[in-house]
Amino acid sequence: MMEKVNKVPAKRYKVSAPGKLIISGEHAVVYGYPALVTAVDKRLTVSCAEKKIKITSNIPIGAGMGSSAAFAVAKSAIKVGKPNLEKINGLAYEMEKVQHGNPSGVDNTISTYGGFLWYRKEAENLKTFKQITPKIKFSNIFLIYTGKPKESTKEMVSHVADLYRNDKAHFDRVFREIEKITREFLKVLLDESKTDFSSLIKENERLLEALDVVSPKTKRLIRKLEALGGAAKISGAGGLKDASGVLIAYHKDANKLKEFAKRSKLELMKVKLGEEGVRFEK
Amino acid sequence: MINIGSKENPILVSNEALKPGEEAEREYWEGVASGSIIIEAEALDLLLGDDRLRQGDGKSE
Repeated sequence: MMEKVNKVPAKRYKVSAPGKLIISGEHAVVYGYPALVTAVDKRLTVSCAEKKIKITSNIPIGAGMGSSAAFAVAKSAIKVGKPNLEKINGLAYEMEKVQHGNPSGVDNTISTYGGFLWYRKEAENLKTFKQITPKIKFSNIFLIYTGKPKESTKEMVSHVADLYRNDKAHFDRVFREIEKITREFLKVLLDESKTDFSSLIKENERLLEALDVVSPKTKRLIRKLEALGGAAKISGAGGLKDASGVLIAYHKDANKLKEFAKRSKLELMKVKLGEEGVRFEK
Repeated sequence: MINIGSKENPILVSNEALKPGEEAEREYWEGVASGSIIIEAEALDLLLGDDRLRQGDGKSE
């Protein structure tokens, strides 16, 4: 938990904003395929009392969970002073541009509005965002931290770019298959499909392995979890040489997942998907 | 922002993209991989192709 305290003029307020997780579409999204993103129940809170600003957060840092955007959204909410989500989101986006140069807007949007978001880069200057109102809830979702990858995330993006450059036809097929999975996740959320969530996670993981972004060690771990009736996939850039970062893991019996993580000496964190966006706390 | 193109054809990217070994660079490219940060195809080729990167004038904006 991060905590920071600064001094400011007297005023009392408390605002929080959620972090995010990419459910499906990592790497493929770079090449114009869609991604499905969700707000999670890890939040960054900015509070002011007794002339002091306090910032606390349980959003894991450096795990691609949007802590920077959550901070931008919280700061924007304080500046706007009321729950005008369009204004908050717009201001947070401007802050993200200063920080990152060319943000897509996904992180600040999901942190402002919460829930689920469908995103696609249609062209260099055209993006599609669609807020999703889910008809079902996903439960028993956990994050497993396999460790910090040995290679940089730039190397992971570069590796996929090299593979794509050398065999576009094959990797476009892989990306199209990933898109089908992302769409199927969407249909399950909208209750338009009864496809098992666990099998979607497994299939998405197979395709990420086909993209060569999952280490042999992580694959072995995932196969063990699958043998116990669970499922897991990398979330984000992944890693090849040793660890692969964060996994989204699921088991209908959460206790089996907890026992597995304990036996394997892995960090396990329960997470709720589709969480509320920016919130003015009482 | 940093220009990794040329004066005639500037290609601007966040300077976070060019800080090897730093947490900012890690987060930047994690953002690219997950769709949080957009990078144009030309910029992606340049940033991932070290030889071609040396041809840019590398001026900050």
